Amino acid sequence: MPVEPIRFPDIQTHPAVLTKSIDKAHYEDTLHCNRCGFCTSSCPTYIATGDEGLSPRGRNQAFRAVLEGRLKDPAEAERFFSTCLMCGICTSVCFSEVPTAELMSAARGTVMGKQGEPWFLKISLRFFLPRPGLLEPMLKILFIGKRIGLSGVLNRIGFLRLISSQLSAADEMVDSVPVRFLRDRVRPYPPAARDADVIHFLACGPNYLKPEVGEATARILKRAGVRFGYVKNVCCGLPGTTYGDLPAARALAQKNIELLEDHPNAVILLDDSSCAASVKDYPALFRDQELPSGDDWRRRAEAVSRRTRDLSEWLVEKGIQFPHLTETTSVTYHDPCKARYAQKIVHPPRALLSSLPAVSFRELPEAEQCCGAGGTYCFAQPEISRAVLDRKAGNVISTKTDGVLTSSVSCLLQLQFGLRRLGSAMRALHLSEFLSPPDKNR
Amino acid sequence: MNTHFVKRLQKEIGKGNVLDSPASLLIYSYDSGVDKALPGAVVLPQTASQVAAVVGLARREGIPFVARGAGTNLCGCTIPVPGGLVIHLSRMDRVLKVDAHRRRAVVEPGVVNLRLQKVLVPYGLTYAPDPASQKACTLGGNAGTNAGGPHCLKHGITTHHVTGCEVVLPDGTFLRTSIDDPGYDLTGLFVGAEGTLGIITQIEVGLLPLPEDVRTFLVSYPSIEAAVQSVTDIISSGIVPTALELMDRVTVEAVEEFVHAGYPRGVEAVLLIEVDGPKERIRRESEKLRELCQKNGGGDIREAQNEREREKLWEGRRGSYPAMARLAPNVLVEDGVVPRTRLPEAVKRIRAIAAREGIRMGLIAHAGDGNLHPNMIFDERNPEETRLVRAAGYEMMKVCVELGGSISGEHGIGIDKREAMRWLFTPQTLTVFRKIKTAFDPDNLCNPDKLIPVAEQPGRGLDHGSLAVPVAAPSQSSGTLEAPEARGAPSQSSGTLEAPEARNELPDSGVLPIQNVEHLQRVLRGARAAGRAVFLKGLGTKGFPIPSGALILALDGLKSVVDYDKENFTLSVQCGWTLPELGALIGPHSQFLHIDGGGTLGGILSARASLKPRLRDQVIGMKCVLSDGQLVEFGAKVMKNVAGYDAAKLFLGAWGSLGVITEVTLRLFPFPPEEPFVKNPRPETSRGEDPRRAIYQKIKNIFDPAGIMNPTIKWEEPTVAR
Repeated sequence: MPVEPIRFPDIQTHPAVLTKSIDKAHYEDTLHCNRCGFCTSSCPTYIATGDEGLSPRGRNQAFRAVLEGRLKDPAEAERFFSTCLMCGICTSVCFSEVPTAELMSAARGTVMGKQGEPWFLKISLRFFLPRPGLLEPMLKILFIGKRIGLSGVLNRIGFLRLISSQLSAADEMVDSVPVRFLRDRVRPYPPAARDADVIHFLACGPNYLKPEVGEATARILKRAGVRFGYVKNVCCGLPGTTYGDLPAARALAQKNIELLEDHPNAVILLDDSSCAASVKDYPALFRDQELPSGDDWRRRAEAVSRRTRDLSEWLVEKGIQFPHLTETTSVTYHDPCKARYAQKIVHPPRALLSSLPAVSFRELPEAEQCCGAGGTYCFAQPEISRAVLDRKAGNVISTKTDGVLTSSVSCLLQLQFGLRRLGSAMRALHLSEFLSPPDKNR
Repeated sequence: MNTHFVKRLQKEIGKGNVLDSPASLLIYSYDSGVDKALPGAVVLPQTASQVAAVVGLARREGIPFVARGAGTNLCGCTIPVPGGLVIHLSRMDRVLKVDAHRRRAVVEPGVVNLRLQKVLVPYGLTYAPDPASQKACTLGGNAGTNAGGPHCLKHGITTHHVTGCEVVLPDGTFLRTSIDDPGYDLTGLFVGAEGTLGIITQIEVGLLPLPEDVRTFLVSYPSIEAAVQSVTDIISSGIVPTALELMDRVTVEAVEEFVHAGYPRGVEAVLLIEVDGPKERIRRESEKLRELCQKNGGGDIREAQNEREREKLWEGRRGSYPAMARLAPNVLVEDGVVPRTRLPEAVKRIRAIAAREGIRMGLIAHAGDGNLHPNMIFDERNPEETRLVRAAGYEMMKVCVELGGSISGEHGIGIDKREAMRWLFTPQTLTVFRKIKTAFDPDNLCNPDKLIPVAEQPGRGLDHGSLAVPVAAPSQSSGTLEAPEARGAPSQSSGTLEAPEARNELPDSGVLPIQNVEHLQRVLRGARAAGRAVFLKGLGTKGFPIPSGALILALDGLKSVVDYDKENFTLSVQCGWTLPELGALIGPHSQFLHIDGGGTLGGILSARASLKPRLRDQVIGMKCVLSDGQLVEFGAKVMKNVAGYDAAKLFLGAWGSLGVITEVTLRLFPFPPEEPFVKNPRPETSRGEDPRRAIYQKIKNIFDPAGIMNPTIKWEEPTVAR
């Protein structure tokens, strides 16, 4: 019986027709993915879902198809773009080093028209984040609501979900909130002198959610005898970059660059790896050749980037000692992806912890994997985030150590939530808190 | 796809496991190869019964389906039929069992190869096949394509390590197979079938102990020839490295540019050599290796001093394909195999093709078994460039066939090489493949139109598009290469015409000595025309009960040596030989067969006389005469070959019930077997309902529809409870 042969293939691709140079640059990047698939098994969202669309290869191919006009309604691919954790592990295993996280930011922004951005974030980014004087009272009202249990009640009756499922997830995840922000707590320290050695950049996580982390960092700096101080920095702009709202991110970055230029020789120290990576990556915000005075800003951003240090990196660089840590304990360490992949910091925290005589350091299985926090991702995509988290928390528990350390508040909250979820008594602490615990005798 | 079908799918396996948005379909239109096609829906089943439910539904609706693992295939095996169904098995990713005592593991098909390796480390065990994509590729995909890898030189490819599987057949029913079962080797048939005969939902694999010691070397050579000569010398010396990887200059440059693995620049070829085993032996072998490499001009010998350095050297090798990928949007990775000693010639001719067409190409080879990969870079958005590269790839495969090799060593056939199958197999053999496919999948829905050339178009094969390269007659002495389909094989003429005349030759009863293959073909045609049952006999050592008055063919007279290739360690002989006789032939050259048993070679194979070493791992090629007198052949004279169904395995242990094995190509070794032989007891049989029986009958019908070949053989459920 003669059978009509099936026609393979039925898809032919054509070069995308693009006008903007930044789109062209992104398109070039997508072309470097030749679909070998090596990235798939490393990607946390692919591991959690098994869906090719939620793999780096799938995301790149979808973005490429959008740019080539092969997807009639680009909004169809929104789910692929918005579910990327932006952890960057894919680029680290990709031989062509396709910058998927960066591409997804572009896909969310350029292509999706910022559809991935939740409404309250948009307001925050444009209105509150550049204005700490408005943001902080606003947050305090919210936090008081949380502390008196109002949010819990509203969440249980489904009211928060009604406004935004993300608020609901956030309320569930964040266990406790401070009434005094870090900015208030570091008031006793003087403002930065022009010739300060170190600017302790107030990252939003330590500032608004975990001020005890920033306090610990300040104690470390004080004990080390460096001349340090504070500037009135705003949010580093990371949420804008993440959701593809680059103009908002740029405005925040420019404000910070100007402030930091007043202290031209100071190291800019961040105790939150996500924000450290974001500041180090400021030059990328001005990559677009069509920006007004983009070249000038890129140069200024590069100068700031060069002076920026993540906490563990700086501690090892300066050889800071911790002789007061005498209590025998065992710990494991979770790398924030923004440290491990964005800044390629893997060795410093391990070297530091291994050098402490009283501390026994044990490596975390699947240490290379993201915890699923991803900044606000854990609120935006709670289902995937929690699947990723459960695997991470299981690995943490399997180390049978006293606690897990990390260097980003986003990861810290996520790990604490994850251990709670699995009913573990293990503690999760920020590296600063561990290295400089609050003085109990005070 | 019709929404009714999608709704049924959703109802059957849950809404969250079905994808049908345009974006999702686009994302499932590709794998790592060149071809793309848009499916109609995608399902992600979580259990084997969901797979069965989906397959059953697709069959009722007449919708073609394809199983997919990580989509790292390079020849279009997992590309859906346009509008068809993709069954993505990524959510079936559990390691179900590790039996350290029996050294076996049972896994679901979605388990990533490297993950299994990691799971096994605490047991001190390893799973040998390690495709370069092991970080991503799944064991289901590995089984489907009979994947190889750099380390399979010593330990063998996937088919040597899959000991059983659970399959959802194209009709939606389950089948469990094991290589320990009596009867036809169905496991061997499913491995490498590219998902065209069913969907593997569980795989049982054999495991090896982790070696005591591993040493890895990187050696530079002034020429490809010198490197290949080193390889030949190493293998002839009795050392079996786990890996012997060859990389050419272009590849090394591309890799170094990115991986910085410390490979030497500016040399024509490098060999990555790895040996493993007991410490003391490895020490001795390492010394010998250095000596053999230097003798052939190998310089700058680097040995990895620790695990990190070893990993770095391997990173360089694994990076060879992706490193080329950095240079252009696409890489076409060809996959040909030739007898090892022909590698330099193959490389020379393949390079000439690339140079003529102005194609940028890097070459790597699993040099130990003659498997080579030209990596050609191009841009799929340019149709002319794409066509050119594909045509060049085809021409390169032709070179491999001409040199006595095959069109795929490990990647598979898929869509990409369907037409090239005509160069390798005769129309008769392709017909057998088609019959196998039809027996399992009469509706042609299970990954249809892969692996086998689509329609029967004799005469077209070599004129593939604008590519009219004449295929020279095989250059070897013997006829190990049967006439390609296109050249109109003479034996294609219908056998029944000669039957009346042949019928007169048949004695009423007793033993008929067979003089040669043509005689055998004539006799079988006669017997079939006369409806006579036929029994086969070698030296009569198996004591198989034969009914009185039956027609018995004595095959001990078939005794030519078709090809003895000492350098490549292969021996092609007819099956009337006894092992002592073959020993006398190869012994003086210090070569050994890893086979044992009494009587003729044909008897040993048909009775699957030895369990260890496994007979199925010794045979790389086979010629058989079927009951209609047709001559078919499977495999080739190469160590790695995944072209077509592995039908030769069906004949091992078939007790002559499918046809007559007239000739086999066997692997030779420079040392006697290391483990003692275990004889196969006659298969125990008893009464019982066995789902395999129906399948066995289907297989019998493929090869012997008249049912005249040893009709007393009936496979039944083994007594041992499973």
